[in-house]
Amino acid sequence: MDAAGGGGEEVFVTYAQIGPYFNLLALEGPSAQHRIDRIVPYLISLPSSPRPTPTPESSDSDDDHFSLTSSDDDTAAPAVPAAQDGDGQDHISRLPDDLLSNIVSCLPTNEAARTMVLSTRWRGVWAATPLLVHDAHIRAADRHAVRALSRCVAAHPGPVRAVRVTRTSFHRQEYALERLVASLAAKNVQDLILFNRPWPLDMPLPDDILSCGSLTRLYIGFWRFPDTTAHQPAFPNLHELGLFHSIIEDRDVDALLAHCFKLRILSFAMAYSCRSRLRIRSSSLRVMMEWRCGFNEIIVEDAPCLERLLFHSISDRRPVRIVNAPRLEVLGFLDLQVHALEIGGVVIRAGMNVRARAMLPSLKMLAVKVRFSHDMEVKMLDTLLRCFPRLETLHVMSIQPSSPDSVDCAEFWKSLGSCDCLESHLKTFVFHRYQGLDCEYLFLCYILKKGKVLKTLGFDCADSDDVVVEGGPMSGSSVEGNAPTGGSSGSDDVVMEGGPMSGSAGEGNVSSGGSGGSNDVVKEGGPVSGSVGEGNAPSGGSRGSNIIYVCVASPCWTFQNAIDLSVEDPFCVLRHDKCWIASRVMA
Amino acid sequence: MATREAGKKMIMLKSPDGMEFEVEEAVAMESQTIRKMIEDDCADTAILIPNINSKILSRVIEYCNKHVPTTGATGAAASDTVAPAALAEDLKIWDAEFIKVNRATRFDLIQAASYLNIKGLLDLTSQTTIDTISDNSLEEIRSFLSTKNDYLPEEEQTIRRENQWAFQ
Repeated sequence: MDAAGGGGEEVFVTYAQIGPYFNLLALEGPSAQHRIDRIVPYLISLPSSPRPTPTPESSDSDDDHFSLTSSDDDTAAPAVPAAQDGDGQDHISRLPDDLLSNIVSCLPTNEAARTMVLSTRWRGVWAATPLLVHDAHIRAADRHAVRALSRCVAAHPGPVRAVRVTRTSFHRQEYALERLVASLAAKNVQDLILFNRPWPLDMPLPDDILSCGSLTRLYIGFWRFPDTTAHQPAFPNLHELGLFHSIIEDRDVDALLAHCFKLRILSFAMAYSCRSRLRIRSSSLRVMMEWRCGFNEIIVEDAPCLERLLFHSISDRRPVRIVNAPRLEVLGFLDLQVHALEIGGVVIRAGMNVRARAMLPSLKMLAVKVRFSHDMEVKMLDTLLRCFPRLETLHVMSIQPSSPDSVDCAEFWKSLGSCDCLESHLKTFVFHRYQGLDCEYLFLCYILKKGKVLKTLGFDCADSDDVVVEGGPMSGSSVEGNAPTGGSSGSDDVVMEGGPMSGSAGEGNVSSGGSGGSNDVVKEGGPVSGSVGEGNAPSGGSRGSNIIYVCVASPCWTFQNAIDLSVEDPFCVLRHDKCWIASRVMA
Repeated sequence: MATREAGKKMIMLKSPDGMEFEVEEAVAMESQTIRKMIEDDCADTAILIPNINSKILSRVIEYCNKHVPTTGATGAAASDTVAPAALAEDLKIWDAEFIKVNRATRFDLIQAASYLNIKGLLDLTSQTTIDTISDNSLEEIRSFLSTKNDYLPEEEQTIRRENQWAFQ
């Protein structure tokens, strides 16, 4: 959509044009309507519930009743209390206004407004309660819905605390939409989720959105973003911005980043009609998330505070250039087929000699998608480890190749030397979708052999029920946590000792025997091998680095986890309750 | 939570009608208001709770007794034996039973919960009012809340007309 940028790409001028384009995208497979019908609920489910401003008497209210959470269901109707013991006294009048306000703020939008009619006092209470708007609560007929929303906001003196509009079609409602957005700007809306129910997909979002200066959180979906050259964006308080399935020019992204001084979390989702370069220059940004978008290029030009650069990418190969991100700690999923990584101006090529300039010493966690059948990707995996000398956690997701052209990489891994992160930093390695292929196994062996400080090994086999997690690498030395016998195997190379074909207890050890359920892993493994340890009881601490915990890993890679800085590892949760203790035997 | 050493510290709460209630400090500190008094050392002997009569205060203490975190009280972690989910379910049932009181008492409890700043109790007591407003016609709500309609008929009509969207 790089219209003004002169990219020579497609520009949609009218509603009529985007429909056919979308249909073209969908030539093979489901129709555009069908696709969009599936996309919309999915996108709507992504933004989480806003955190309401605390009211004085309930400092951390969860605000159950007025729910802006992803569930669009109406709240279940509670039991009607019997109109009991009418003693004629006006009990409610004894309650102070802020308590009534608290009650009003828990009501659905329409019912809160209805209380105005109860008495003059209630009218004042409604007006004094920051407005919450959820279009699910407004039962106007479709063609009146936008006008109803607009009137609702107009009737309230403000401030507007939170608005969630995800079910309304704004088609042919341009005037009411203008009024609504203008009111939201005038009434100091703080938290706004505004999705247009398609079609059309490129309906212009009114310019007034750029004047909502009180916004702290903004998610928009299915809009054409307004031109920022005419109206400068004014979002001095915006912390979190999500642009979903929206058309936005590169220069407008630049302008947003330049004018949002407090922006911490930026996400793009399904902006796959974009033909653009995403250029990140922000002094405040901490999380940058690209979720199934079609950017041609992603450049982290200058992001001194960026901690997380996250991708959930699809489609064509594209460069990811990291120029200046001195605090970047988490990177992933880097798909070796999709992303061509460039660090400090150096294109990272498989097998290259990595110089200091091409290293990111700040990086602590890396998640990579690898096709182990591809020679280049396997070699790239090794090169990547050298780019991140202080890597502490590595997630590797094995992607099934479409054409199984098996590569013999045995010699490659066996002959490979170690690197800084394996020598002294890598503590956790998680293998996602491990299928027990030889090439996967060789890599696993390599990590176990060279990872001098490795503490935890995780396996996630949630996506493939019939996957047998070979006990191989650890089997020869898996020990009962409480009765350590490590060392008895007497080998100097634990990895090879318990090889995949060992046929020893190893098989039963970690094998889930086709059932795949993580619960079964422990139960089945236990009696067969007698080597299932209690994960939470790290006995024999004296053995130090010889102990490795082998855990079941539950994937937790979701949009919400990705942008939530309090989630330490957005890729998986290590189940320390389902954990074996293995001992590594050194020479 | 503050001191939980062997001898549990007790606090005396006094209602304006002269009743005295001796409660564990931890229970009393379910109330943020009382917690603050204790932490500011304003609670040497007894704390007078104004505006809350002994009947309501005893109910509030009953609530706090039930909701004070159980772990550590006896030194052993109670959560080891009872699953947290089951515990929460148990509390919910207890709450539902607790709130079966007449309206006057409920509004007294809302007020007390607000003054004493006990979030759980405030939510519980407010919820009934919220449910009532959600489910009933305006006349029913007025009757339930004993609220007198002080609008002129034409005033009420105007509000209804201007906010038609809310009355659909």
